[in-house]
Amino acid sequence: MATSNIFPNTSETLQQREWISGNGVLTAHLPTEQQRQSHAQHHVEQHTTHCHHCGELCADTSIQADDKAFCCEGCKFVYELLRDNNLCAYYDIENHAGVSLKNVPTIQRRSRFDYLEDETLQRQILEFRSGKVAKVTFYLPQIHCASCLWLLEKLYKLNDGVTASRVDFMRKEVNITYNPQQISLRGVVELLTTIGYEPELHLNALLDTPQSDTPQVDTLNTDANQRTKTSDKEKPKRSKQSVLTSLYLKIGIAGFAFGNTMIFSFPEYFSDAGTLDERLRGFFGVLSILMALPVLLYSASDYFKSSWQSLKRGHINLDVPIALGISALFIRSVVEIAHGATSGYLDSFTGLVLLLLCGKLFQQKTFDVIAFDRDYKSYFPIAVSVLRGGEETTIPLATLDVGERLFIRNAELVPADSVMESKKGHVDYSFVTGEASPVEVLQGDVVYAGGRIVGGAVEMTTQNSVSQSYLTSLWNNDAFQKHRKTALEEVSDRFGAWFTVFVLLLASAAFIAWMPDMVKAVNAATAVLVIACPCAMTLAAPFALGWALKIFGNAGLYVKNTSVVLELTRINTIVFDKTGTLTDSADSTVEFAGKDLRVCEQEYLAAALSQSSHPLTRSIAETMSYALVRGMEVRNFDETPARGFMCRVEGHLIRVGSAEYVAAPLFCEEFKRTISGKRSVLMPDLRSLDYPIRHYPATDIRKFGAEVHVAIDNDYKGFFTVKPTYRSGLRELFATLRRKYALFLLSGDNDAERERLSDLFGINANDDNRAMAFYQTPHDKLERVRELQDVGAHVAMIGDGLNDAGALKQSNVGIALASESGAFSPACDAVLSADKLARLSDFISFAGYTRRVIIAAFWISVVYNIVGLTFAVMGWLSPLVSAILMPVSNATVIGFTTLATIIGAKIRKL
Amino acid sequence: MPAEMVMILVGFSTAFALTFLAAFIWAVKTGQFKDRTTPAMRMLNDDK
Repeated sequence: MATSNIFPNTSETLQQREWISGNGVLTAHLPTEQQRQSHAQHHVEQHTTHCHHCGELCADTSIQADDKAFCCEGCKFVYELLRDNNLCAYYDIENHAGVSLKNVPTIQRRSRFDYLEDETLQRQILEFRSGKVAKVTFYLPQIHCASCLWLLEKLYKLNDGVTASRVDFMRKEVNITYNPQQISLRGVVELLTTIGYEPELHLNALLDTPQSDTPQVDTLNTDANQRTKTSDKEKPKRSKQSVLTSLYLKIGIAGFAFGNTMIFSFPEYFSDAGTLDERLRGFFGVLSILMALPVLLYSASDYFKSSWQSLKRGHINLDVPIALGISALFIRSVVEIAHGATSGYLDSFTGLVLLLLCGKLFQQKTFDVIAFDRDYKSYFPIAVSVLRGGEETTIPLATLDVGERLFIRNAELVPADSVMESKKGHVDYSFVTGEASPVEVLQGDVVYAGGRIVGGAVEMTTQNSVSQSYLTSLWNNDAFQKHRKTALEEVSDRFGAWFTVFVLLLASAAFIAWMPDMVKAVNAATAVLVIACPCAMTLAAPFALGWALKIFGNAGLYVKNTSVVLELTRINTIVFDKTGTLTDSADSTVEFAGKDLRVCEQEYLAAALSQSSHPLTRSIAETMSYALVRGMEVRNFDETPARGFMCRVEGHLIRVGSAEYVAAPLFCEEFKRTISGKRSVLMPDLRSLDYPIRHYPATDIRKFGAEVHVAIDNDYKGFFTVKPTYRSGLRELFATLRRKYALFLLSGDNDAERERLSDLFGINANDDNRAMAFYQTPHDKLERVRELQDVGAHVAMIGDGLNDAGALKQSNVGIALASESGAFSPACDAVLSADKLARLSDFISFAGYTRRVIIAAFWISVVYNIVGLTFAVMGWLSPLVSAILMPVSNATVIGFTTLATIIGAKIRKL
Repeated sequence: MPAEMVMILVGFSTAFALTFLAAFIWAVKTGQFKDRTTPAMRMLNDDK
């Protein structure tokens, strides 16, 4: 069964090409990791020779040098290079330290660094250049051990042109100083590539500055300028570092001033008023002011800047009361010192600033942890098709390497900057630039990440690794924002402003109430300004949601931004798509019914089918070997969503799609009658060839599964039937969701599966016809979602990223399911890994839990403020005590939300 | 204790403390807190 052929007239060569019918599972689509492991195990049994350079198991011991075995020529080459330069200590520091070069065919293809010869580009890459000295910093993701560090800092031994190199291990960066008269920038990059450390060059980030010396660069720049908006995300990395540095400085200075002013105030505290020498009091006062000045002007400057900015725009932000509080303290202290009354409260002032800054640092660090995890640990659960050894394999986006050959179909996104390998193709950069007209790219051109392939499928080789943060920033591009603020965000925004006004009024009231007693009045007012901490309220949401995003990401639901999490808590209706969502297109039964196809016709068909990213055509294409279609010329590809597509393969017009799309409806019906009714006409041929066609009575023709019809050169050939396999855990999922949500199913296919689906859905097929709809076009789906929304439903749509893009966008929360296809549309709000579909109810319930955590944190903060403000107004709190309490309350809120969200996730096993 | 003496001593000690502040600022500015891992690793293999 498993090896029987779909098509009759099979020649032997075709059998070798692995057409698979029956269960339709093709071995090439097993996860590559598994393959690799079994591959490795296989070799363990035979011999356990590890490559001297990289430590990978060697397939055989044929590649040797100095009695040392290597897994590939590349590794051997590096070893010899190091040996000849007396750098073998590389292998002593760490065993098998090397970076495997097995999968880097790029060494031979040096021309790909040609662009580094470009002067304009060099100017942007180089940090410094004059006559004989040039400096450049590269990001080398391969850096992993002490040996890497050691070798990279010994670059000068490999090439005289390199003067010095310095590694930053944590940032995986190397800073190289070289002599441009002896070695070019390209030479340096090639040297690094040769020893296995290929720098990651962010072309897009580099090309940001508009400079147009040569026409060639000019075109690159126009592209780059259009991308500037979105590649901004790359920049803050640098400035974040400097923000942290200046924060450390500010804390250092505030701490210094705090310690010293405290010492200067000791005499004041220990001596009764009057016993202290007047001159000494003045002296300490002046010293304190000198100490406090840099704190006011430098350490606290951010608060003043931020509140000034907000006042200029006519808002009152949360920094305003803080700025007021610290200036009140400072001015009052200076006045008192000038009058010689006391030595002021400058110790409180400096301590307050110090504690505020420490709170800020804590906040920043926690946020960094969240952001780091989001950028580097959780990935878009998207897969890409790569060609390895002539076969198409699907790998997770996260494991995509540089130098990999990609196969990208119509409407799929380019995940990383790549070089075009096909002769010609069209790329639509609308996700990047907002410009919708497709750009033509020719062989050798660079295609930037985020571009979408239009028309026929193309092959390309990746030049850069996938930048998670870049893709996320694309996704968050304004063009795809739904511009909706959830109630919680609005409340907390408005709340911030009102709270500030309230605190200002309260402080003035306290001041006036204590009026005759200036000391108490200032103390109480300042304490009110300082202790009032709306920060805790405003922090609760970002932190809880930040953690939620991170937890979702690790569990396989990649959410676009925080507002999606809140929106998820409001939904009451869930709409599912069928094909590719509930069904697993990688695991379906495919059969063909129709006329005999000649070998060449089968090849044309295979070539055409491999172009489209529709789940059904993918199911069919997966039963065919990719090797079959390589090198075939496919032109004029034109896809009508949910209907079908046509293209010319080697000049032959192929139409694939629904019966209506492929041929005139009447003609189709006639054909069906032919194959079902007048079976005898066709039967002899079919039977003799063990043809896997099933013969149904005319009425049952639609019962088998979804149909994909084909016609070659206007000659109707027949149709494929795809019998889907449903993903596991759906019954339980529907049972759980049904308790809280209204469920709908919209399918673009025929209703062959109605009964099976009703059973899964847990409804009576004859009773409730509204819950399920078939023969839906993308537009129907969109309309249906809108209708539901019109009657007040908050709709979550779960569908396939491309074919349901419209409905996903229309819905309140559009969740695209990602399985083996790179079909990802920025129009969705979240990407759900297909194997995690069964956990959907847990995801939704966790979103609700997160919302409750935020509200709880809100109340904690409210209680704190009520108690704190009461004490402050009564004058029972010194400004310093409030200065301690405020960061403590911040930390409490952050700690509470963090713990609560993590515990909630643990309970749900997310 | 005469006030003048206290003033002189405090002046000295403050000036002394300021040099440490200057040292701290210098250390931050020259990036000594930026990378705290690599120098430790580098040191171990310096002689190879």
